[in-house]
Amino acid sequence: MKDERPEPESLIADTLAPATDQPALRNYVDQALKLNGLVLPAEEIALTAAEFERGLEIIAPLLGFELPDRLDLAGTFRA
Amino acid sequence: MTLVTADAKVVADAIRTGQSSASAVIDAALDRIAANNPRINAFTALMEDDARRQAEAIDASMREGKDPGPLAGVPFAVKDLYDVAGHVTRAGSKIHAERPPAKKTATVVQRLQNAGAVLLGHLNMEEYAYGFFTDNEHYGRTLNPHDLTRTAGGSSGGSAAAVAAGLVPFSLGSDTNGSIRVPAAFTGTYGLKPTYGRLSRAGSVLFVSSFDHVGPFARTPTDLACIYDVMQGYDSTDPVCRDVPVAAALPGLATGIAGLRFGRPDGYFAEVIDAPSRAAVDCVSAALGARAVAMPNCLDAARAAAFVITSVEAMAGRQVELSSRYADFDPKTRYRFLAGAAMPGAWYAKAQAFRGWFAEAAKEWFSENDILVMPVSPVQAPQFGQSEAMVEGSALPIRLLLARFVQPLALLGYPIVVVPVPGNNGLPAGVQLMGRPFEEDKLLRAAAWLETNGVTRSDIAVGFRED
Repeated sequence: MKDERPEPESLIADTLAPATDQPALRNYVDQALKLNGLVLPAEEIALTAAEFERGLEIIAPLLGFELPDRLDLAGTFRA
Repeated sequence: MTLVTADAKVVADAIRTGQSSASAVIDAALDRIAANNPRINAFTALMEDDARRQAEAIDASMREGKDPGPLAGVPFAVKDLYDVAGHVTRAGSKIHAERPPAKKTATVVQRLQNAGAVLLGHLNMEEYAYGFFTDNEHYGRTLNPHDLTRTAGGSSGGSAAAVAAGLVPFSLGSDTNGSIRVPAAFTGTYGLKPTYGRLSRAGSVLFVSSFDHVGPFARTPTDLACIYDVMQGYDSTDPVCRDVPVAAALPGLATGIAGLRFGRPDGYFAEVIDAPSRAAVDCVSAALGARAVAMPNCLDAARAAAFVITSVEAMAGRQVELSSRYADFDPKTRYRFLAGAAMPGAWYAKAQAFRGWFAEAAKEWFSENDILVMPVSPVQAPQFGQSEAMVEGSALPIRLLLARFVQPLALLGYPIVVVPVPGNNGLPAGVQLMGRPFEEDKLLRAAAWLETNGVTRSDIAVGFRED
């Protein structure tokens, strides 16, 4: 297993390029919400963007985790 | 101690042997709730008329010489996400409160009632089960009976607090990322998150379907086993319920721990934890003779995968309500749900792929162990409004701490029993015992052994005792 995880800050920048740019992040979140049928006022979008950004701190280790090649992305989980 | 604060088995034995009537027990329980619930706000609704009717039916069946069931006359209550025929299921939400009453009772609740247990009401929770504080905008905070300034945990906070305060001997909650385990730890109760697919979720409001479990809280492992046994059995109306043989835990409960091998994961599960929480794990591990188990360096990623899956599935499940009624969501949960809409599909796919890989990796942990011993939370119950906690000399955000040891395990769906260890500071701490899928009986055996040997104990909170 290879674990060469970059720092969260660079992950955020690499994976979601506009994330460090607040207007761009808010725009991204606004578009994502609209694609899900959610048209919200600017204040709600800003608060959602802030919540999304807080989550990136937790998510970063997954984005940097290198899974084995040829893993079946369909998933086979069963307890 | 009178029957009103007795454990479930004691109550059932007293009623089954004619020492007390079910009606007397239920009347006393309802009186106790009326007197004490305002102190902790555990209940969101009482079902007094239904409860009294069922108690009278049990007494009538006793008079006719019929068997009233193994849980005859035992009062209980359920998290406000279980359907109960004739009553509204709120799921902690203002929106769901406007829905019509349920037409059918949830499978596991019905099985408990068929066994003679008497349902007293619905219990408070985080809105749609999304959070660890049970600080609900619509139905208020549930306070921890051991310290009223602190949370009882969440999302099944009402379920745990009602048991810790001695308002009911047992309750039902649900666990997605730790919503049984964290409240059990914070209130010093025993909790069971069974194997994913073991107990039917039919008739419960789902939060994250691929992680959701139903399960009980109680003050003794014996009660936990008794309740669990009654709820087992295949149910075709829950698509994830597995058609596996019922494996009764109660008959072998007192057989001890001989032959069981215990491991204590190191690395992630031994880091970022305060002294009382670590002491609880030390205590249980030492008693069980647990040996160190090396953990792979992937638990942060496991937690992240569970977080991503939760965000996406939670949002998808509430998309209709969010699109039409977002302003009626609790502000504390609203933005968590909405943020799930922004989660890229590639992240969700990677999280699911990781889950498959992680589930295979976890099998290795059990090659030389039957049960793993881990902390539930890095800290004991925080105070309401507390945003940081001191852990190992650093001030860390509570929002990052509470799920640390529970959320990664959500990926596995393995059974976990939480055992409570009373703390020297008056607050309990909880320890997770995790076993292989469908081996709940071994976990309950270990929990019973720990209780018998005085290692773990669930006490009614000091201010709520009768003496």
